[in-house]
Amino acid sequence: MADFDVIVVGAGPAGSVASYLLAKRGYTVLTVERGKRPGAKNMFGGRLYSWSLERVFPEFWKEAPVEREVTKEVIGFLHGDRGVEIRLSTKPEGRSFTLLRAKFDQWLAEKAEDAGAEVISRFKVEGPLIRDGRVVGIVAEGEEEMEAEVVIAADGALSFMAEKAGLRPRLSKEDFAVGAKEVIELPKEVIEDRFCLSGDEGAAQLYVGDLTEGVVGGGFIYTNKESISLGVVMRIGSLASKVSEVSTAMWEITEKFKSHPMIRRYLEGGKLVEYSAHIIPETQFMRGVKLYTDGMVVVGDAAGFCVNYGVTVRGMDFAIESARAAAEAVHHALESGDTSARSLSRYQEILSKGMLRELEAAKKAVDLMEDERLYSSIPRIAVETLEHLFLVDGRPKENLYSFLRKELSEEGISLLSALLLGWKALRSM
Amino acid sequence: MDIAVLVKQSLDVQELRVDQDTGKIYIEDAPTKAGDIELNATEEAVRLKEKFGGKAIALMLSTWGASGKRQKEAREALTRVLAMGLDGAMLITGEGAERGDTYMIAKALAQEIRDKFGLVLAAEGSEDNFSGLLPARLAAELGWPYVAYATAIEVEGDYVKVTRSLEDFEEVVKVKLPAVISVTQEINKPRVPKLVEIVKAKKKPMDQKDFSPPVEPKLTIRELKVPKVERKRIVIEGDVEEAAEKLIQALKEEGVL
Repeated sequence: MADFDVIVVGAGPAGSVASYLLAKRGYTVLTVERGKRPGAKNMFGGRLYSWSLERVFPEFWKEAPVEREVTKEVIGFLHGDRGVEIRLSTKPEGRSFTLLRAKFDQWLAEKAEDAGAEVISRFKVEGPLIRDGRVVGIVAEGEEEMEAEVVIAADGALSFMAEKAGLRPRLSKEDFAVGAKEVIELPKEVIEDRFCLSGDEGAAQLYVGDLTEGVVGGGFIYTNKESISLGVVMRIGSLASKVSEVSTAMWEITEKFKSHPMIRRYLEGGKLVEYSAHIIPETQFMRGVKLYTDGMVVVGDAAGFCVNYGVTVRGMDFAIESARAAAEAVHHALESGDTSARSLSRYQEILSKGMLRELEAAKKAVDLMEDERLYSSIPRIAVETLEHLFLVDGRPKENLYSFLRKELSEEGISLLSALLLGWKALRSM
Repeated sequence: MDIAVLVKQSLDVQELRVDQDTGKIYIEDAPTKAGDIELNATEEAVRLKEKFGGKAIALMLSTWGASGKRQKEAREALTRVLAMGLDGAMLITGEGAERGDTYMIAKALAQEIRDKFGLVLAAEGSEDNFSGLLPARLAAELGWPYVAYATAIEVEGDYVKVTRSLEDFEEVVKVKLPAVISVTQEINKPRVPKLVEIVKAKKKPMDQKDFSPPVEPKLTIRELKVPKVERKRIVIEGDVEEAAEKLIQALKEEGVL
């Protein structure tokens, strides 16, 4: 007899949702979290797409500590101290919310606790407990062994659980991005004024441009109730390949982003209250990561469920959906008394009917996002073309077409490859 | 002989955020925990209990009002010490306790301790205020002897032999039980509970009792503020001799020398 039916490693969104669903079904669940408390060491940009959590908690935003509902989407191109912003204004429909993880993750963990899961924080799990080639529990700090019928690895981007169980190869720098983020406090009215928001509406703004010095990445701003989350994300592989050219450190790039004339006006008078940095899985879901083995499944960031589509950046919604699918598969496995890999493969089956299809389709977008021209040439051309369009100086103006051609050839992009890039972009979104 | 360990629900001062401009301290945002030295008191209680028998119980009087968040943190802090091997815990909480000074808290705790325990262990000071007043006040309320700064405790029949760490020397005293003893961090190395012990601790008995103020507090805190440190922002440049001369001059002008 194992100590618990299920041990969940990590109390992030995936871990807490899996714990909640299984505890609610009456299984004994132990959730072990390494941070001081759930959410204490977790980080994301700032926005959760609701669809997956709504399947677990319908209209969760009425109860959960969300900050603002995103109704303004901004894409921005920065070049030098100039920039272009494209702003979409939509109606609130409960689609996505900005939030602060320290509060939100704690709320989710409390849901799991209320459902009967034992959530223990400040405790490190060393790895899976493996006997005769199957996972039978966990090894906690101090060589302590704890047995479970099924283990759910929700231990985040660097998942040692998955690696030690042989479910994924040692990952390389190509698989990750790094994000640095600041939370800047501003009065509610100031935020609403500067970002054109009313009431609980929020804005999500993504930027690319020369601030990352050609490295694949960009800046982001999300508005919370009384603060804004702002930061920079950069691909580690791309960063490493340019290490001799990129003169600035990550924090300097964040500073550069913050001091750009177009960005600065959003932050003026704000007070820095929190800063953090975290690793982001970027491509691993395509690199043959196995999602299950005998006695264990892998969910969320640990399985690499994170996608940068360029205009949208997603991870938390996939984490939650994967946890829901995992909980269902684990329930069936426990019910049938068969927790082998074959039985747990149901997890992948459930995902392949929904979420995995979406991730598969995302490959094109991800490939496009690898194109370094997006981070250097395109923002410059966008800014300069619009500047040309709006230019009035009393002299005859070159037509837009020949201007654009000249701009492209300066960047060494033929008209054909520009069209191809545009076509790729349209096809991938 | 049963032992009571006093555990205060202290602010986690490492997570305390302050506004340097206004001096405001964001107390409500900071989490609370059991103090580090209270873990030493707990460890000592568990060791004594294992050696001499009896029960060891944690006693907490929460001064944070009825907020759900604080109640949860109080139970978590008690779970932490229960996992180290205490037999049970009592949490006293409710309206009025948030106004408590050491005078009122000592009186309230004395009611719970008298006739029930033979020894009280406490930290030499709490994690947040570190006034170190409470154990002494409690001993005075109970009419028991009080020994502070203990670095070793041995029970000898009806007596307890305590080694005290004083500034320049150690003192060994013997007092008759019942007694109140406050310990220092040097007394032992608190054990780190295992996962299974934390799981079990959550199932240990935790009595919750409503607080009723035995007396009115004598001390009221009007305001808490961060002291403002204004720097002169003078940078002295030049070679060492020249700079030293200027420094002495500047210190003289300030009336320091």
